[in-house]
Amino acid sequence: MIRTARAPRIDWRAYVVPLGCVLLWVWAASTGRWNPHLLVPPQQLAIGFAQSARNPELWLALGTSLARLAAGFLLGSIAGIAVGVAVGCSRFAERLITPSLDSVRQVALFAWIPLLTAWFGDGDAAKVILIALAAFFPAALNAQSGCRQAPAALLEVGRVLEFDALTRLRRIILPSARPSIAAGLQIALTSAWIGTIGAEYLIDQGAGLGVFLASARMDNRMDVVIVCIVLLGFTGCALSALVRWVFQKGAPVRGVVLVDD
Amino acid sequence: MIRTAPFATTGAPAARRARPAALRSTQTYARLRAIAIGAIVPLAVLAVWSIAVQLHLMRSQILPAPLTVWRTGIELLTGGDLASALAVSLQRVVLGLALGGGLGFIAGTLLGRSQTLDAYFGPAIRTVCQIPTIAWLPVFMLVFGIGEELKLAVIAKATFFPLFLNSFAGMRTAPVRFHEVADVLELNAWQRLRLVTIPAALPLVATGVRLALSNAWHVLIVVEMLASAAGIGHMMAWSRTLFQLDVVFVTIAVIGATGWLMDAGMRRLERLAMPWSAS
Amino acid sequence: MTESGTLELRAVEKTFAVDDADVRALADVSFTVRAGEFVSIVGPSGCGKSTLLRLVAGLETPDAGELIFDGALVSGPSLRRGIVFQDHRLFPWLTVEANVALGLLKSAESERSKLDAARRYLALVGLSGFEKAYPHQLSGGMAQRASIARSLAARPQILLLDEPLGALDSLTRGQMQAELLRLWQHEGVTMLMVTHDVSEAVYLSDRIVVMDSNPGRVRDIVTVDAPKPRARHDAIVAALTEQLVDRLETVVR
Repeated sequence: MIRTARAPRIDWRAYVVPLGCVLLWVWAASTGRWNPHLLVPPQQLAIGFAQSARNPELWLALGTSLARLAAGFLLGSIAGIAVGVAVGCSRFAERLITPSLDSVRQVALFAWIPLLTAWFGDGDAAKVILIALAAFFPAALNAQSGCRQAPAALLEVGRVLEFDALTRLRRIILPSARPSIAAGLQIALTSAWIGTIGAEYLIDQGAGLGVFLASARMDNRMDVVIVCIVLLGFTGCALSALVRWVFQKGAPVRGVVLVDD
Repeated sequence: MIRTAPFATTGAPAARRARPAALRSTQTYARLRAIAIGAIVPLAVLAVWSIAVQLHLMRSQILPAPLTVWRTGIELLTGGDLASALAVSLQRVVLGLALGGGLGFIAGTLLGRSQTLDAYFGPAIRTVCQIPTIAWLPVFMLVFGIGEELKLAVIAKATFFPLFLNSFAGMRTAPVRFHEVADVLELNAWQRLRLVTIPAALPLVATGVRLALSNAWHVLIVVEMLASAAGIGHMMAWSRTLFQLDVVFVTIAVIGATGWLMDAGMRRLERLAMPWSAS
Repeated sequence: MTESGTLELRAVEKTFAVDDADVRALADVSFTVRAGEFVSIVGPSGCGKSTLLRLVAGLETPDAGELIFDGALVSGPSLRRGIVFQDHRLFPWLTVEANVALGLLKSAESERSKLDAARRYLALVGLSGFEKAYPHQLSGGMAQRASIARSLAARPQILLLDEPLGALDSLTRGQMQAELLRLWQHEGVTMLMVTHDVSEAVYLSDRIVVMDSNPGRVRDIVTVDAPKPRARHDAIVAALTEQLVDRLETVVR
């Protein structure tokens, strides 16, 4: 068989439009025809970035948000996985819990805020509960489908080897469900991060990146708003990568080759 | 020796065989049982709720009695307040969907059919759409203010991506295999569009609309809570301010129910219009 | 019987780029298919059989060499070279008869006569009564038959079949092989079939092209000297099948 290797090509066409937009932005800002508060000139933005980097309040806010995220995410994802596994393994549990869970899931996440603040005030409790709620459903749904899809063939082996329910769970179901659970946790973390910022933005009390963002908007500081958005975007990506890394470290390498004749 | 008789056929296609009576009642029984089990948790919650109210575990201001909520619900429904708030919200959703979803559909279709366009615009569009709509909110509020344009812009953004992605996939996933058949059958461009591309893309586009609706609904509630004087999100936020928790409960239920109805309605529509798509 | 053309392949080559490397699917493939013949192509997987068929169909172009059909160079798909794929590729959103009528889209007949023709072809393949059904309601064998009807409705000069029975269970496959033979005898269409099933090839073909893989080239062209229809347990048939299987097994190292 004759094989000649070819170097992978970078598609430069993908950069044309973004570059064009940046140039457009620079030009538009320089003409001064648009409100400089809205269409922030790049130099202004750069200054804003530098200022914010040196602003301890911003980093404090980020830290607070991350702390809330950690608390809410842990709470929600653990509960979610527990419920998901229970529902995935037991038909009865599924019939018992799924209708109620599905109903709750229909309500938009942030629609719970008024109720939560009425019950728990404007402090951390309401926010953490909301974050937990955001993390709960993706974790639960993915855990459920992961357990449900445990290969029947392996379960049969378990029956033959006379595994009890706990062993079956430990040795067959959970390992099979691992990729789904990992995927679920990734989504849960992203949802939780959005939930964190959203809750802080909407409740607008207590330190946090969302609160910082809200006050920047109220002060009409588009540059700070953009800085905050970029920061929360980066943090989101970093968190995603973190979850992926954690799960890749533990997982055995599995390669699947799809053959197309 | 030429055989001309066809093979024994397996009977008329897809005719539902009538189930024997005994089997039918077992099925109904099983279904009733499933419903009964599913009702346990809600009933338990109701019970706990009533007990909590009786024992004054929380101030009656923030935990209204179930009966109060029920009565308020009926009042709002028949009184027309709920209906008008819902109408405002749904109107916004429809307009935003038409705008954002329409643009998304056009963009997805164009980029799906043209590799060149996709190479230039695809990555940029996808990156921008990755940013959650919530993050766009402050920017939009600064640019559009807090009027109707804001809601339109936000919903348009929320509906753009699902429709873009799904229309794109619809154009691409309109499998090459069908296009090859079209090639061999020597179909012209118009026939190809009519007989292959559009029908193949339809199921995916329908899914896109369904997802877009769900997105739009979730996002609209947030915007209405923050910056609106009408609509169901505003109704909820306002009644919360007035500590009318019974209204808050009702609105939560209505928001959930509406979201579910839209989704179920779309699924039904999909199944009716496209019986062949196994979704 | 309409005038059918001869298919000629001359030194056909085809290379694909897979994962940034070049794979030679076909190298120096040459043979001829005479009008009215039933020729099968057999070989191990990866020997480029399907690629070959797609080249004849005009869905791909060769990197070197020529494909000549009915005196003209093959340059693109055409109704005269119908093709039946392994996956039936019926349009799921059209009824069975509408699918078959697709083969007649280009003809100048009235809608009425097109539908009548479609129904005739459906009857020919044994699907009478299923005209209004949708593809997802049919079994694999039935769908494949409808696909064959669609190709035949266009009255091609040569019918290409790309592992048409590969997706079917062995019982249905056996029945369908007899069907194919009957259709071939009834319509008189030249047939070129790709299959991995040697006994199928021996049962149906006048000649068999045996291919090597890595790169794909013609190893042998075997003439099957038994009258049709053949009994599967016939001595000649069985002996030839065994021979070919042996030969193929030595190819696969």
